[in-house]
Amino acid sequence: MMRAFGLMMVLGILAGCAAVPKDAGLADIQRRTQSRLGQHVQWNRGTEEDHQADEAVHRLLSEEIGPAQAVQIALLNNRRLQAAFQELGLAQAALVQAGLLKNPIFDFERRFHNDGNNKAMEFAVMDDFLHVLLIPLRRRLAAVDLERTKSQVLADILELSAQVQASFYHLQADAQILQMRRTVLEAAEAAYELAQRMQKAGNLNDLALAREQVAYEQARLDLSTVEQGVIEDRERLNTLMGLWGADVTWRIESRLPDLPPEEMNLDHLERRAIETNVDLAALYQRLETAGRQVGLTRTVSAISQVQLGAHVEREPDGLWTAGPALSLPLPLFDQGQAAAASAKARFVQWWNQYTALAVEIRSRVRRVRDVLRLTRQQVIFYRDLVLPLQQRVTEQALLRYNAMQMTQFELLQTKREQVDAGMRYIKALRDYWIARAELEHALAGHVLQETTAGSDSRKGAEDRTGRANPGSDS
Amino acid sequence: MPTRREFLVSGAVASGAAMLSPQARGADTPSAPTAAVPAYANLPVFPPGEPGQDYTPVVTPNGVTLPWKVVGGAKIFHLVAEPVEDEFAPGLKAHCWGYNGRTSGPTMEVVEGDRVRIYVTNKLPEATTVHWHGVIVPNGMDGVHGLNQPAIPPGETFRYEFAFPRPGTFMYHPHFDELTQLGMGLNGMIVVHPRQPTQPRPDRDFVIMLNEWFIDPGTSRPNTLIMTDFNLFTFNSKVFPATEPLVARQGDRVRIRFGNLSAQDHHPIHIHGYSFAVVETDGGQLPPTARWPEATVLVPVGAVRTIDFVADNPGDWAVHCHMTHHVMNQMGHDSLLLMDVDPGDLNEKIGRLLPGYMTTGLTGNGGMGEMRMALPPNTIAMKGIDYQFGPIGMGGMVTVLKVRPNLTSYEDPGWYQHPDDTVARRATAQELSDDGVKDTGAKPA
Ligand SMILES: [Cu+2]
Repeated sequence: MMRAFGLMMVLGILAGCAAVPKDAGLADIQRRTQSRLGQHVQWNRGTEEDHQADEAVHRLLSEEIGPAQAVQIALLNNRRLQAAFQELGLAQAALVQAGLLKNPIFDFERRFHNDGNNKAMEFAVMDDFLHVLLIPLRRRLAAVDLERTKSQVLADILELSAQVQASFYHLQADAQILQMRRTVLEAAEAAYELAQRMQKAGNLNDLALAREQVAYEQARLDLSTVEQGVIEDRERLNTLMGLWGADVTWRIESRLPDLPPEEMNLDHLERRAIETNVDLAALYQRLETAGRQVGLTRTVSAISQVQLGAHVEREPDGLWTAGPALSLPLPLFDQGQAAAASAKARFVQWWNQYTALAVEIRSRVRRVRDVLRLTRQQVIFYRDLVLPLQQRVTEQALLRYNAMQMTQFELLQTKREQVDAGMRYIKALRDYWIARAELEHALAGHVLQETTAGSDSRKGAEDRTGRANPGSDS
Repeated sequence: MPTRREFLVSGAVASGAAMLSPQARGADTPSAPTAAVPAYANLPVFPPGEPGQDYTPVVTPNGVTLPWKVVGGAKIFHLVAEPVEDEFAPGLKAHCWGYNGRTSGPTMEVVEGDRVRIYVTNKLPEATTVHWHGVIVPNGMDGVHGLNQPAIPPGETFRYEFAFPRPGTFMYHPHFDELTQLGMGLNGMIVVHPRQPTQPRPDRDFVIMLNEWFIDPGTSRPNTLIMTDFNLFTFNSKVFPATEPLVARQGDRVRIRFGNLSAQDHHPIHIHGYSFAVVETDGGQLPPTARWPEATVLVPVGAVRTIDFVADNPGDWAVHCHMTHHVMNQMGHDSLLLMDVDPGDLNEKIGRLLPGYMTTGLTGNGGMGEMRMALPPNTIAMKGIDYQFGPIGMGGMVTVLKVRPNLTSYEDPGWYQHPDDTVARRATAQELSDDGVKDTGAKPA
């Protein structure tokens, strides 16, 4: 019995000696978020800091917000991210758990002998022998798991930030396009009104009038479509920023930032993206774990059914007997070959997953880099060539109108075409900023989604938000 | 077969001056058939006609007379067909083709019976010829490429030689790639004065070539492919107000010779303040009995009309084509019809989108001359020149006949000074009342 207690004490010491991080790695995540995104994250756990975060969110919401502020609000206020932080708590708990002995099973047995008064009592404390032996390994696995959870939370942070930024640029662009659509509508309205007045004076036929009306009604529809887009953009951001109620009336900086004169550093882009990628790092950790398991599995499978215990027995004669109990399966059939093969397969599987993701990251980074370059060229092309040219076209059209070589209808149509070019410029500028944000996130460790920068459609934005649960453990 | 020179000499020997009697010239009319030989056959030899002595020189407004010299009894002319720049009016220049540096080309002025050798140098980028429109010439001198002669290649000089057997007003122009070459401005007038005039010589003898062009506002090249939609109508390749006035002293005998080498349009030229008679066409003189009084003369495409009148009515008189589209310049072709349209606040609405925009034509286009809106480069206003009573609302085929008493020079005498109370003015209430005019159109107070 003493031996049994001694063993239990040994196990207890084993269990208690490993240090478990008290903040579940939050500080590490905060540090990495700060260095990678320049943003602060907060895990709301009912502390004074929660209150400060809430105040910070409202302070940001009271001013016109830009992309960085939107990201900050989301990082502080998105509840799915907060849910993800709970995973940290869970992983931490698992780590603590891994360091504890399983609660021994207290097996109490009272046997009633035929003689009626001879009270025999038997109880045994049985513990899983393997469990005890594998505590260091379990602790290591749990620690890896915590690391992986941290990586996952960081990935969620990056994903959220990337989504917010892309959505924000969509909103800014749509808000600008909305203004332009209003100008187009004004031009179409003026033309239609002129046509109506001309028809009333007997100077215009019904066909010409109908044509101008069609253009006008279409311009109204076009405006409505963009209005819808702005609503969708705002709601996407409301969701991402975790806002509701009175908080949804935020205002944004009304113009997309101008093209920065200097391009971001694009040197060694693939290598940098690979080095910092969080998902890849998480996969590597799995790979490492799997690698370790390949070596261990044979042993584990052989002894997994070994039970070690202390057996204390009081014989009917009143004598207590105590001794180690051991039950040992004979390894006649399962010598662990299958488990080993399975672990090896698992390792190769992770290895391939790892390699595949690395290939994907490289490809996506290259693609977004090229999109960045192209959209920069397009923006410059619009800004320095097409827009001044369109302005010139409008000016020349006015001169030709003055020379009575052009009608007001054609003149206003020319104006509409100029505004159309302005809208295309805004879209190019938007795509530039989205590509840039994506590259920056890639260099911060984010896995770019398949449909990202350069896919000029609302669908593209939808796809980006397809990973609906930023806190989910995918 | 005798050479042409021998022909001329033998003609002179055989017929002498009698050939050129007024009666002989009347032989142009169908009613007096003579021997079936061309007019240049049996032409007597005359010394080359001299200005001042044999004729009063013509005036080509905005133009010049082609210089000549005499060699061996023949007048020698030299025409150079070449690219030229023409200023249709200040503000509109175009790359055209012309003769001797100008369009229209210099007026060739000779006297009936003059023998000429005309050297034609081609400095155009393509071949050319010269046709002497209306002049009775031997077939090989007629200038139709292919039919009468090989074309003159670029860089070469051809020689034409013939005599002018009858007086009149004719034209010269290419007969090679006519659409391009006439459209680009290659044309000129020929005046053949009578050797023995049957009527008093005119004191003022004007030569005006009519032409039409299309120059898209903002361009500087006549578009010779245009078939009907011309936007410039010129007197001697100028549009009003750049057309030089026709100045005459009161009492002068005035002759105006109109030739028309427009591509597609006849021009009814109307002269204000006068009645006149057409005295000749490019076919010859009209007998006085065949003339009738006119105030407008229709000058068909490819024809000449010469009119005579005595400048007895002093003043500034409009001389213009009566086709209203021909008294406009480049503007005014593709506007909306806004007559009587209530503009509402459209001017402001469109102006917000297009700064500088102005709605015009709401009460007609009479105000266009005054607006002076910004125009494309190298474009002249549809109309608009300030005169003593305001802007003149015409452009294109317009000039002013200025008749003054006691002129000492034919320089532009400026605006006509009207005798007292000879200018239309606002009616006074007394006059309206005296003459019983009731509906005065006055807005109610
Ligand atoms: Cu005309």
